[in-house]
Amino acid sequence: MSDQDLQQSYSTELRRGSLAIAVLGCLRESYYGYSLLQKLESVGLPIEANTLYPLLRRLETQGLLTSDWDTSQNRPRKYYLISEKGIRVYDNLCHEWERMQESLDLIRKENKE
Amino acid sequence: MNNTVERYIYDVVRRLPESERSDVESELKANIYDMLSDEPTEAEIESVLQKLGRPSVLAEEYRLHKRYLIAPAVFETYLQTLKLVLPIVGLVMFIVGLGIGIFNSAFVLNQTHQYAELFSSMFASAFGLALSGLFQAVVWITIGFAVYDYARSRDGKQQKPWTTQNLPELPVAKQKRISVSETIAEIIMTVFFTALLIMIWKGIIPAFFSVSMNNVTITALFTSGFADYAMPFIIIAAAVSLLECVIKLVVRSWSVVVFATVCSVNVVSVVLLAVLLNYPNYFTSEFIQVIQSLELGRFDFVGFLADGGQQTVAVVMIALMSIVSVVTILVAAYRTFWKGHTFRESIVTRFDD
Repeated sequence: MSDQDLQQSYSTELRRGSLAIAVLGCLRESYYGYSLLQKLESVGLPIEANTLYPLLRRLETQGLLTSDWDTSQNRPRKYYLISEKGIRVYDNLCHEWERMQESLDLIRKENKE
Repeated sequence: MNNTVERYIYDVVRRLPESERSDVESELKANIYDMLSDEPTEAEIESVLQKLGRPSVLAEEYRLHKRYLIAPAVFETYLQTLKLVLPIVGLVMFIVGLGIGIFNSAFVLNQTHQYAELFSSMFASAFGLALSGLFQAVVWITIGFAVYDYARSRDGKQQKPWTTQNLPELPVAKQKRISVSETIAEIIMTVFFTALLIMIWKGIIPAFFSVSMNNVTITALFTSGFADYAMPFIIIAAAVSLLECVIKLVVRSWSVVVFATVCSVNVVSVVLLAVLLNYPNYFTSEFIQVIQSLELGRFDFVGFLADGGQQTVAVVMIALMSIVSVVTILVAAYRTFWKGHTFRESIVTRFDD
């Protein structure tokens, strides 16, 4: 594996871990698949379509999202929204995220000394 | 609905379980068309579908449960099972095949003396049976593991919790291990030479000397009465020896059980030989005549023969066999009981630097 590929693989692993919390966070508001893709890109978290769509399905299966088919347009669209359970999970994840940030910052600070 | 898009969606969805298909189809359809403009060109469609990637990979992402034939968790066990079972199956089938080949050959059926035909029949059926036996074993073991895995994932049960009780014993030191290949070679040799011996003595294969010397034609080395008498002895000796090999295969390291088996097998063999050679007149008179006529009275062994001292020959043979047996038992004792470095000890000494 080249250095670049190696770097890329760890980078991907880091991103993958953050996906769920990013998606759940966005879905306080209602989005459909492609619009969520664009939203994430706009905040600097580009994500592959073939990762996002299955992820949305999985989160819904797990009860963290609710969905709604909008048939008012010429084409039906599936809109997602975070559920009660999803909000609880998201809040816990956020707390964990903050604690993790603190720990990682601690390590980085020690490295600088 | 565009044909390419439809085909793409179909290729993804057909790989998913039936219950998932229509939902995923609707979702994918909506998502793809959202990514396309209102009048998409083929190039645009191509590019969007490329972004979604290979249908098989996308289907894998949608899949809820990873599917394996043999799950990674049990793969090691699977391989070990194969390593354990396949040599035994191959060997047993080989031997059975040899037997079937013998009895199916024209050699036995029509009593024709076509050695080539006999041996080709033996080994053809031996290899054929062994091969098909091996394939069957692989298939059934694989199916067994796949079914076990399927049942496990269905129940969603985790494996039983692991404790230190489950740890295996340390492997035996190298010199304590009994080599599988050697044991199997031993089995094949035993079977082969026993079969050969039986056929020679029964006169199915004419004996070594179809020679005319000094007007005496020897057709057989041993008298036919002796050959018949010896038959059960040969078979028992072979069976006992095979039993020893089987125990070695199963236990695979030098233990008290193996040592006891080796001892008893050797003792039994010597006893059998002693009883067997008590039979009066086992060499044919023709053979003795030839030896006498060779005037080799100078050499002790042949001299005994010439004087008709078959008893003495018997004693010599039994003595030789006893020496071999004693040596074998001593070697077995050494392998079993010598407290050499065990695996544990060799690790400890390394860390003691």
